[in-house]
Amino acid sequence: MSWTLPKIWRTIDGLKSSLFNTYIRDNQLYLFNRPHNFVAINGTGTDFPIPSSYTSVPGVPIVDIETSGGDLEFIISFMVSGLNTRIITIDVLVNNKYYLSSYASRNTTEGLNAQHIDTNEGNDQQLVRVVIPNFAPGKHTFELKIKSNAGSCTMKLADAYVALGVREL
Amino acid sequence: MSWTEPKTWNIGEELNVQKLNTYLRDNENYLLSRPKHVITHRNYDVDISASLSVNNPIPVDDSVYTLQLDLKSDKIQVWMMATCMVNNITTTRGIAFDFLLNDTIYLSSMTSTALGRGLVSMGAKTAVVRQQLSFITNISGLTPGLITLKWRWQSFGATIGGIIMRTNAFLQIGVMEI
Repeated sequence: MSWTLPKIWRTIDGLKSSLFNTYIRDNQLYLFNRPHNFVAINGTGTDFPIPSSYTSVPGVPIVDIETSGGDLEFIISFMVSGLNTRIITIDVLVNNKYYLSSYASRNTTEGLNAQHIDTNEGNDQQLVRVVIPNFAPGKHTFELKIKSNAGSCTMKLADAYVALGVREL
Repeated sequence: MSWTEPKTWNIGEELNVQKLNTYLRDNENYLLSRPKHVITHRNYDVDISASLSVNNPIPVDDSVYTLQLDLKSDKIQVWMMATCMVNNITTTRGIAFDFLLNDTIYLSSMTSTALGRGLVSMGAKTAVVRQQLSFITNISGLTPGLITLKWRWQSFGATIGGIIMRTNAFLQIGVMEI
């Protein structure tokens, strides 16, 4: 159900059913169930060795939604482990063109989130939640990307929870 | 766009354009985009040279990190999302972040005295260690009207200086009505 900018009511409009269906019924339905999409990996696959350049995570689908121009909320949850001193960085690639962290084709050095593994094989759960105001209306795709500064670390998939969710606030 | 308490419609009541615009159009627009204030920095770099004292929250920078909201309900959601590093040789020390509400109370304690570990905290490391430093929380029972949240930080363990929040990182603080 799409959102239609609420009309300025005028006397000459009259109380037509078509106007009430578009501006009242449809908009209420839109507010009740706003655009959202969510993917999760519930402990399937094998742990993913994280390379040194941004790559997609096997088994994590691209999230797509159509928005009306409102604010978007992103929630990312995942677990990593590896050798001491490894740095794991994540980001979201938007429409296969730019990164959420930088709004540019190159991500920021630290991405949306960077985590230093502090002890050998430490398992670190990460939760990222950001809000991007006034996101351009239209159809969009969002793809989770991950990298490390130097091998010997993994994203836990076999026995861990990974999620990427997007919704209009 | 303002929110108006929805009216109770009565039998025989005149349905005029002013009522349709106020109770239908304006309230729909309000629900589509409820008040929020989000500050996002891409490639931020916060480096303080002054020392942070224990139990003495100070502004990170009120000219930049002040959130304001004209609240119609009594509930807000507040969050912080950052990647930080705290480089200091004494690992029993660290930094804590909080928000000061309306210049009177800290969100961590809901009193005029902040908790020692604030809303979120991070211990110092002996190496240049990056760490996610984030929180999100809901707060209810507020008085509707204009509210102000100012970002504060302090040390715990002992006074420390030389704190570097990681450069080239993504930082966001925000508040929204819920």
